[in-house]
Amino acid sequence: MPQQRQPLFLARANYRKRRLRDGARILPVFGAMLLCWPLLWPATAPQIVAHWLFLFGAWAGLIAVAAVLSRGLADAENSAHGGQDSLAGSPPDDAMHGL
Amino acid sequence: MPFNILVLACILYVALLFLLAAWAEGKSARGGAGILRSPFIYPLSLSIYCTAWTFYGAVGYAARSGLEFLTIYLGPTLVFVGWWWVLRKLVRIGRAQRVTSIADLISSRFGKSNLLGVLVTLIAVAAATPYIALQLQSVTQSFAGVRQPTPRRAWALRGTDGAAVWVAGGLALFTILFGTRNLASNEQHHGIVTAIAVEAVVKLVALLAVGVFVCLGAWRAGQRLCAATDCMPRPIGDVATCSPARWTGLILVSAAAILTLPRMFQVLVVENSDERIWPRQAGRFRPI
Repeated sequence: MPQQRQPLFLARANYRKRRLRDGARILPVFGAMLLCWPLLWPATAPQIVAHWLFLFGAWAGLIAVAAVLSRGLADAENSAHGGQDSLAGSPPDDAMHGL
Repeated sequence: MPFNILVLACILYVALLFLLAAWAEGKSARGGAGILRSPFIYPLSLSIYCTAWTFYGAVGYAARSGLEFLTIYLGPTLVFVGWWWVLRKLVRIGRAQRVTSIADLISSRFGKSNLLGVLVTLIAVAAATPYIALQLQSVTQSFAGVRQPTPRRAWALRGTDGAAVWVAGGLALFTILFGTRNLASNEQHHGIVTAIAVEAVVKLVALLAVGVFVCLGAWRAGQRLCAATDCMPRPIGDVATCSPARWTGLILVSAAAILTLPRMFQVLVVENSDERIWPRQAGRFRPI
């Protein structure tokens, strides 16, 4: 008889929210590297079409990932404000000292 | 196009913007601030990054430098994608410190220093004045480009400076009516934001029209001209023709510009009525 699988983390929503925050932090760094990537391509042949496709594809991809991340974060923040995920509490916000 | 129709269209367009701003202002005065929380108004108002000059500047830049023009929009895209890092904190600090301008923000980081605030304001005014002149020039150039060359009645005699004075007067009137007339501690102007949002749609349609015209009309005409005159079309610049330092530098400068330009700071931070709007806006910035 298969044993029923237990969730590894109790505060699953909190864990998910933190990973989404990590994603939101790393995304602009990843985006900057992605947008500078064509500079490393060898300039041997005219690659105007490849550059156009790459840049617009990267731009659209960044927007899509940002939309997914921000939607997830907005949902997580809303559920946190609703008191459904207050088991572990939110990490201290460093907004006032981070700039 | 007859010049009278051009003037009539401009007056009707400006009247529409005034009416819209007055309507939004009245609605917010009656407690309907929800208009700014609309999922369309706020992101559209961010298009103020693209000014009247963009119509000439961006198109000319693209024609002259090819892909390099994209850097002006890639920097802001990165800023909006990284809203969690900077924009969210900026809005939160702006709210906590009751910041109403970029000068106010910088001075508030140094104990609300008046001297520093005055200095930053002077720098912003000195930098913005030629920029406003450029905007006025773009409007007068549009008038000069659209007007008929043959009838040299009233308009041609006064030259294009007359248009610049009228436009500057209209802008000042708009600013007084919907900006400085309202003394609010949070310096939020719902009427102006709504008018900017409507104008954004017009600008988007105009730039798309230029793109369609170039792709469908001017491109083929240029090819035919080249075939007839046996000349080689100049190749469009790609990333390889741009130096790495210039490419990354322009992205960095444009990313800084969208945060520090006075008009962008006003819309991004001061006019932001709810910090939680950012998660919904992060994916909406389009390099038009």
